[in-house]
Amino acid sequence: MQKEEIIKQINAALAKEFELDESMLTPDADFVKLGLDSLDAVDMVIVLEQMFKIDIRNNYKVGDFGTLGGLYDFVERLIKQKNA
Amino acid sequence: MLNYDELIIGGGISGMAASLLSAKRGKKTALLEAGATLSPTLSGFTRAAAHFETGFHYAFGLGEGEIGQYFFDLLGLDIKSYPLLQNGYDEIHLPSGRIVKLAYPRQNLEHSLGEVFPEEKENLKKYLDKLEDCFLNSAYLNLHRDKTLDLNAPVDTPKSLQEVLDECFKSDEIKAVLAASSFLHGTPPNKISFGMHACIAGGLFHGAYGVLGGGKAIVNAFEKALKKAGVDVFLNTKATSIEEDGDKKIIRTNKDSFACDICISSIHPKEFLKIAPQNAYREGYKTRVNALEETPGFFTLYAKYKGPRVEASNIYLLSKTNVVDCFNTNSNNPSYYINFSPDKEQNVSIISFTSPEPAVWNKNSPDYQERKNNYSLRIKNDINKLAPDIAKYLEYIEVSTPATSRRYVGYSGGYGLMHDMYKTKVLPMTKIKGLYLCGQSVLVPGLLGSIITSLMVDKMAEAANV
Ligand SMILES: Cc1cc2nc3c(=O)[nH]c(=O)nc-3n(C[C@H](O)[C@H](O)[C@H](O)COP(=O)(O)OP(=O)(O)OC[C@H]3O[C@@H](n4cnc5c(N)ncnc54)[C@H](O)[C@@H]3O)c2cc1C
Repeated sequence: MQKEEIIKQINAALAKEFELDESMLTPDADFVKLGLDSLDAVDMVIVLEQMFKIDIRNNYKVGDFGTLGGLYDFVERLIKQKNA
Repeated sequence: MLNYDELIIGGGISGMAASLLSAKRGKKTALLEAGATLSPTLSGFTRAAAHFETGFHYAFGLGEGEIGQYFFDLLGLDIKSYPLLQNGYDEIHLPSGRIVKLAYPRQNLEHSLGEVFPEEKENLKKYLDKLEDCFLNSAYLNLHRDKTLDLNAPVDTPKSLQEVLDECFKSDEIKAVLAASSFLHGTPPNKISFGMHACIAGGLFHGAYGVLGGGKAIVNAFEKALKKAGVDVFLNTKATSIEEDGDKKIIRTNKDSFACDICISSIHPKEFLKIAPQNAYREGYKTRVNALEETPGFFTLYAKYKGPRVEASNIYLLSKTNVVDCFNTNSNNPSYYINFSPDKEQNVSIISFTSPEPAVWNKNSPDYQERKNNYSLRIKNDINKLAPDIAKYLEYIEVSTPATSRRYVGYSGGYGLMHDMYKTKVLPMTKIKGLYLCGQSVLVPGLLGSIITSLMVDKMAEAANV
């Protein structure tokens, strides 16, 4: 899957599941500023795991992503790993 | 309007534990229970001079210095446990007619199963090492790892139980023998994470414990501690709505109304969603929680056992070699879990999985009684065929269906919601400061799991400082 496609899918999911305005979903946007709390964070991990059939929980280290851009990279890396 | 600092909805084990922890922090605490007694789940019942357990058979971690005992001490509970299954075993009856003894603890298991499946000896060792490793390192169960209360703790393996079994073994029968313990948490092997399963099965292989006096004694110990801690308990009091009023939460019930700063719900999460304020969650999350699957409903026959002492503690009569298929609640060919109480009388519960859908077992439907009778009859016939040596000594006393459970605790899935590793987790926090969830459907199942969620919520309540 191309990076752009990944970004598109992540943004669509965040907009729908977390009621965020797509125009705010830029790579430098940080989660706290987007209004996401700890409940959303855990929930989001599971939504993305299901969507991309990847395992985020066991690969995540604190600080891996603070911004949306970090999340895009992280998900891309896991998808590549899975397909490798 | 009655005023409290903190209020807990639901008087099961998790709600009672949360109440004690709240009072321990010096709060004025109320506990509301819809039923006529605390923890109907654990209390069991007495009929024809025989006592039957309804929600507790055994648990792991109750030995000296172990996690369960630590919780009991922390909560100030006087509960006496004793080792069970020390040199005992469970019996798994496979569809092929083969009967396999699952011995405890681990070294016995390895030895006895190794004899039955000699070609799987090496694999068995690897599998049990993995199970034990997961159990000992479980984020939820390890007091020393300081991660017990960490929400983001990994489940220790991204694989399901079924995947790990398929990787480890060639024989489908040994897989069935090892997967049968999924009946104890109610999530099928292809949906439970190996890590979560290891918390339960690994725990049992490590050391299983009974409690002197059974579930009733656990409830009594809680009642005593609640009284001592000064918690006000309101029985027959069902919460019907939770509203926000500034920082306060207003709880309406079938009786009084209550105002509090912190409200902790320990009831079934889908029932909580019905009474929670609209803004407790985002719509997406609500939809995901409402879509979570219920654990199977239990259709249970209770009987006195009048024969020579049965050495096995539990007998699993599997109707399918693939345990995932044993979770089919619409099957015409159900599996059975037979539990013998550990005391002298050896009273028996025979549990089979049935649909938890309220419409399927509904006390108000005109054919309920007839269907219940027919279903019971058919179970008796099955037991006569599948376990004739036991069946001939059974005197049947009582029957319960998922509708019975719904009447007593408000839900009909035997253990509440499934813990499906691929689906949303029910989390202890909400969007509202000071409104939390605990209980068996939140993060970790079972008796100890329920207490762990109460501890998590207690930390949050303390930090919230409303
Ligand atoms: C047959 C069976 C055998 C089991 N065996 C074992 C075992 O051997 N070992 C083990 O560890 N676990 C076992 N369990 C699981 C264990 O009993 C449960 O996980 C545990 O008791 C759940 O406690 P809880 O507090 O989460 O839920 P519950 O006990 O369901 O408590 C919730 C309470 O809330 C009340 N309530 C509901 N709605 C409202 C409302 N609106 N207002 C006020 N109150 C309300 C209900 O009446 C109920 O009492 C078993 C369960 C069953 C059914």
